[in-house]
Amino acid sequence: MEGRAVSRQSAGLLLALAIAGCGTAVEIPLPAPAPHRPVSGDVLRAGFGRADITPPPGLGLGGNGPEGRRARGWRTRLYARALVLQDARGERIAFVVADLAHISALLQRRVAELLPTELGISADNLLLSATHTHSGPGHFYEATEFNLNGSSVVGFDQKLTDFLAGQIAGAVRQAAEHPKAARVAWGQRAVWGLTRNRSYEAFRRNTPRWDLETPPPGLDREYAAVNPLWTMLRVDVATDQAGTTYRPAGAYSIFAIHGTGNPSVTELYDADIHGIAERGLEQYIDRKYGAGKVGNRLAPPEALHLVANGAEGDVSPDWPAESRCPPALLELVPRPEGPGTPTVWDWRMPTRAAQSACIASGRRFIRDIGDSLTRHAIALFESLQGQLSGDVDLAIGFETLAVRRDSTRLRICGEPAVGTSTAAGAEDARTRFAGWKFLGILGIGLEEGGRAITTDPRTCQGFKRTDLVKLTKKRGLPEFAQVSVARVGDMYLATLPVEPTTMAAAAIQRSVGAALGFEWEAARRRVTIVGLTNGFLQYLTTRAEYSAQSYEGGSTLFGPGEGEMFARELARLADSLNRTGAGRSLANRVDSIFGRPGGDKQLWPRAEPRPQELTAAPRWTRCGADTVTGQWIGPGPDRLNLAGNPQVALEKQTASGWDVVTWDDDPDVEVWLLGPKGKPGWLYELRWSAPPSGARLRFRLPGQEDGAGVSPVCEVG
Amino acid sequence: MASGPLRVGGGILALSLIALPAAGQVAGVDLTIASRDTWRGLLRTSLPVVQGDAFVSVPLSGRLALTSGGWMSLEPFAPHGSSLTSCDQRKACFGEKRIWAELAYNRTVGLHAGWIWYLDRRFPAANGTSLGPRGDTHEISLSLRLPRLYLSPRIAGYLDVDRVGGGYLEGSVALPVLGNINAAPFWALVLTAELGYSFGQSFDQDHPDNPFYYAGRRVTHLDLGVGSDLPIGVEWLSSSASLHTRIAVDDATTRHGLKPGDVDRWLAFYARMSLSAPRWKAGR
Repeated sequence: MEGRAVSRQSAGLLLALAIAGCGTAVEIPLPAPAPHRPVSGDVLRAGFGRADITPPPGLGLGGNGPEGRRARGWRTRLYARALVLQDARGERIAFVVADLAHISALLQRRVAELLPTELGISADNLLLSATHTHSGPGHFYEATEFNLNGSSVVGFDQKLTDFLAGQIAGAVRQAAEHPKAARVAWGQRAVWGLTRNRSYEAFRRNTPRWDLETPPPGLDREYAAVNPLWTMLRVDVATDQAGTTYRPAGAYSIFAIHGTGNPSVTELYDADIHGIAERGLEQYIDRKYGAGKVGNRLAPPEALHLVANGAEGDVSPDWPAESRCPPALLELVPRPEGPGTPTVWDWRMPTRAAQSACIASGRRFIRDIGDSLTRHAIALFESLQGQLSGDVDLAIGFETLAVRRDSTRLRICGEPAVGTSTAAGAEDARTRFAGWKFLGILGIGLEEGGRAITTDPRTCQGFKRTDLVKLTKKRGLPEFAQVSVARVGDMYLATLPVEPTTMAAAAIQRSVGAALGFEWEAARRRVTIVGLTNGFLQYLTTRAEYSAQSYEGGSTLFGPGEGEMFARELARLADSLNRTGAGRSLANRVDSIFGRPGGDKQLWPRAEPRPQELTAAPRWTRCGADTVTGQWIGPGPDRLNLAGNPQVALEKQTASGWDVVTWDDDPDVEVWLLGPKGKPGWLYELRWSAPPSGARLRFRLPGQEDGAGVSPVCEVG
Repeated sequence: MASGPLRVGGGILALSLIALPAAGQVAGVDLTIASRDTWRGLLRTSLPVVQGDAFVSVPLSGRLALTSGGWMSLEPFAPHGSSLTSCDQRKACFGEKRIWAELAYNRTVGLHAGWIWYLDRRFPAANGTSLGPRGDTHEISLSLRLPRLYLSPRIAGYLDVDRVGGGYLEGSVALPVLGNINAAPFWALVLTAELGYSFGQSFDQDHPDNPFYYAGRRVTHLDLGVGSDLPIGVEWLSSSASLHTRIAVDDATTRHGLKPGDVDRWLAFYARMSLSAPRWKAGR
């Protein structure tokens, strides 16, 4: 039925050309702080920090392109987690992983600018990465196009950008201000069966294919066509000044998996799969080794787990089919045919019930896969117990590539371009445009492969069909790529601002490894790719994959040679790092760069002119065995200070009183902003999908006086 | 003359509206501004009109629904010179009204059987150059639409069972053409084509007093249109605008004014803009 509905539709790119805006946004300089200077050192030290980066509801969810919805609430909170390492020579590297879909160079530079010089951290040793959750806010890019079509809510937002930068900088400061003597260990573990290659037809074009790991026998080929390595740096810190005893403090992980457990119809901020894996190990460490959290569920965790993304460009989580809703279809609205009744066309979304079913399936899946990944993380973490060492040096080489200006030298296309396959969306979240044809019969490339492959590949963009360029803002795509090679002990991290496919990343591993004198066997273990770091230039494929023009190939902006370019430049950086005396960092430069974010659309909820205060006590609206829901009147979203502040605590009655069971940072708890209610307040709804059975429950609004901010009791059946 | 039927029609609508909150009916309201009133290829006014439409649908079982509705045309500008008009006098007025009801089945196929009551309608005069006195007539209709097939084809037949007699067949197609694939809001152009054919609705020399619409038994016109939805940011409201060119075939469809000479154009253009609350569901 869906196929028929699509086939009768058509697409008219040419007709849209006259209407599409093709202007150029104003160029603004991005911060260019001085490069970092080492601090005074003694022993290996480490510090962790965390900041809540959940904005108020109302912003667009980035990651699913124009299908991304406007956020109406939140499930798990979004955080930026920071780890600052400092070696005995005072060299520092800050690792930050934020629960966002991407990182923009604008955001990274702004965070670096906010850090005091004496912290020894600047743009050149700040590795700001994204988990790639597709349920975080957009609107913070320096590239116009990403602000325009990164979400159904269109535009750049200065206040959000400042908020994110401020919070992330706070997490880095927290980590960097009082680092403790530390011991660390790298480890790796193969995780099979939870991820699969979503563009296998493109993957299989690679010759040769670099053998990453040997899959277990019987594993389906799509599931075997991934890099399964979970790479982890375990960090233990001293519990005393003398550094005689250590306890686990957290970890920094890299694993290749898209943050697409939630379907694109999701309307809540959520840290997605990574959020579960992050929290899972944190809770494990706190329970087993920590003390501070016992009895206080509202307190932040002591241990922190950063989960960055790796070669995930073509790697999806193994989501169930029922967790994906079909995209909207343009259809005639069934109407009467009165004499004069106009016909109405509208985008028909799946029914609310169908969308809820997709979302619920996605939520269950996130929980399951998150728990599985947590088990792997715990096993890996524990396996590193005997390998911890304080004898670890750090070094980093950082460079800003002017990919547009220096395209000739870099041997890539001078003008970035998206392919028509990009508009169709990836398998994880097809867009409503997927499969459209001109006049319903002529394919125009709104698909993966097929007519997205141009018949005349003689232009710089090769096999990419680039009709969409005519619809995009002139110079609306990013023009700079910040790359780095960081050495932490024996491990080399090659970071880049793209989503590399499995084989594109393997080619870089091989290239960087060769520059360091490693054979492939050593390179695949000792060179780890960290994608989505310090900027965003969409995807990166190999030349062979590019020829297939899957979604990833269409989204490789600078043409078929981009993968080779990154491999060359990172290898050059690694080579320079390797040749530097005493294994020190390079004399990095932080070049002046610019962006074109477009005008500030002021999407952040605006201040309500009237005073807002609590006017109604919280109450339960459903008290079922499987789900409990409650409502309360609260402040408008402009006054909702989520960052670090629990909004609702769920309590269970015990013999000694009321214990907090959880709060609004839980994969089973959702908070929805339903809308304005009465004159002074807004109506909020709590939905808890896994309440403890047989319990007497209540919910409390922290900050409200007991009584006014406490719900009646709900006795769960 | 029309007050009785109006009261009856109004009563049907009122009863439907009273029952609305209780039984999950669907209601819809439309407001259309058109550069001229065009009906089945015939230009019925020369000046812009404002037309309102409202209906209430009562679900019977499954996808079967009974709908009653009303339509009214307002001519806000006083006609002048040789302007075609439905007004009695040369001043602004409410012109034609229609009350209608239909039984419809909507699924992969849309099947509609209806009854239309035309009130305060003016028919062409015998000499074919003006609209004659007001009158009423009734039609029964049957239409079939295949909305999920390529071009969403629709065929409809209307049989006048009252003063005009004869019938009219209409075939139409519609094709959405994607407009913006770069960023929200999403909009599309919809290309439309409509072809009419009349039989038994032309001037009858044996019965010169009978009202009529067309000059002969033939294809009446071809209407080609291009429209687009206009994003207005209100979820329950839909707005659209369209431009049409009507290619006249039947002589009656060439007439654009009251003067005998106002027949020289076979190509006519008109525009429409509509604001619709297409499906307001009770209890929503």
